[in-house]
Amino acid sequence: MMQLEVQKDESGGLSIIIDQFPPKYKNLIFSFGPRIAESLEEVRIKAGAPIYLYSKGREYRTEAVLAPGDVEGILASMLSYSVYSYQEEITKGFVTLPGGHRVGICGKVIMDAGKVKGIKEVSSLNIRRSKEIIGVAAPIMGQILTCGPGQSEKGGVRSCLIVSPPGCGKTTLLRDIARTLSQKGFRIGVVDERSELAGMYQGIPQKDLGPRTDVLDGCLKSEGITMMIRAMAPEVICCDEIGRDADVEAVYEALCTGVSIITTAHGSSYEEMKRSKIGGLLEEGAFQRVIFLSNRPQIGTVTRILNESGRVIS
Amino acid sequence: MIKLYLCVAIILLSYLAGYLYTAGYEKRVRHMEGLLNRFQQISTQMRYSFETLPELFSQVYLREEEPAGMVFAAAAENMRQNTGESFPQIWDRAVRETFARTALTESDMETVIHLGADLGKTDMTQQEKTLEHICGGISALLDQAKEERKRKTKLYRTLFTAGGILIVILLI
Repeated sequence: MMQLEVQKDESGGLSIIIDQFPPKYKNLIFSFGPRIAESLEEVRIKAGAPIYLYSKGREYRTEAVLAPGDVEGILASMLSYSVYSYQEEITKGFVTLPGGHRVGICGKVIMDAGKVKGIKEVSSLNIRRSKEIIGVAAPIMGQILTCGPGQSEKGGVRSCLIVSPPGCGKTTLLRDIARTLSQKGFRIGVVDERSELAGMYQGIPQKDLGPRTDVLDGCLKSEGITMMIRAMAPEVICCDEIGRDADVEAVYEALCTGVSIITTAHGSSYEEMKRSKIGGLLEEGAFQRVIFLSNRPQIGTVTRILNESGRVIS
Repeated sequence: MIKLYLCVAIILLSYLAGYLYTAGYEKRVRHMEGLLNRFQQISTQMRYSFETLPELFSQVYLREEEPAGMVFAAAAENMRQNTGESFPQIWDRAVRETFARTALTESDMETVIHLGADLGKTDMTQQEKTLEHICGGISALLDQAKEERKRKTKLYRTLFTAGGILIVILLI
């Protein structure tokens, strides 16, 4: 088992978001002390309930209970009193704020012709810290990079699939792989369907994805992969969580054009993955490396790495 | 000869007094036009740039510094200060803070406060309707202000000039 070293979290924490809360609630959260406030991983806000805080695996809660309307007030101040400016994101159920942090929204969903048009009467919010761990991919880069013909050549990049159950660090690892490859001179295209990889905010990536990385934000992977190939001629495309038939087709298209794909999928075993919609890609050896992650003993633990034939190599 | 000069001066001064007395009506129209123009700019800008209210408000203020723009600068500042107020409260405070520096009437102020309260809280389709409603409301106020200017300026300038002539007659 390989332990991915946690070197540095550059995300700046949730303080930047909490700072935008109305003073009453901001003070309640900061009253737990600076250590907890700085290491907050999640804040859950619900009408008629206390504010729940999660820091270093522990749960804390405020004594005060939120009054009806308070949740909407907190959301309004986080959105700079401009709901229209975030309406596209709101229809997906979340908004991305400065720092790449994400606010999940629940309330009464307004449907129009079978599509989500908006959310009103907001009842709860889930603010999650977006983690960025610089250097987390370093121990596995040797499995991703192939040697060039000479010492000075940059070589190539193997197509990789990162597999794990939710909450094991797939996105954090994928982001650092993209950043590392970009720094090594590869042209990277990131198709960030859920705005998690780059955390784009007003056209600026809030996460370090390297100097040679282009980002298609909020775009369907199936569309974005094709668009990226045509528009930006990347050498590597990174995208998170493939799983639909259309995603698989887009990956095939990318591989046919000679572009390497580094992506992630939910799962826990090779056999389970072979039975899923992306099983065909594995059968055909589309991914030269399949990396399995676990959250034991800690998030980001690489349990095994398989090659294109499904043989364990590490 | 001196008497003649004095009479002319009295008539001119009374006309000038009438002019100064009615300047408020002129200013009210100008400030109302400034307000309407800014809301129209915000409407266009919002539709194309999707920028947030603090950004839009700061932009319209920067374009021209005059009393009508101050309300937007004050509201943008209030929003950035993050005082925990709702937008209607922020807007109300901004309008009241800057009201004294404009020629708007108390009733204009209440209408502007009422019209602006729904800004920002819905999606773009609703915001377009909200801004249409705001612009419609301010246009109606502007029409009233223009009508009042027309009536009152004519009335007071005539009255002041007539007063001047009366003084001259009495002096003669």
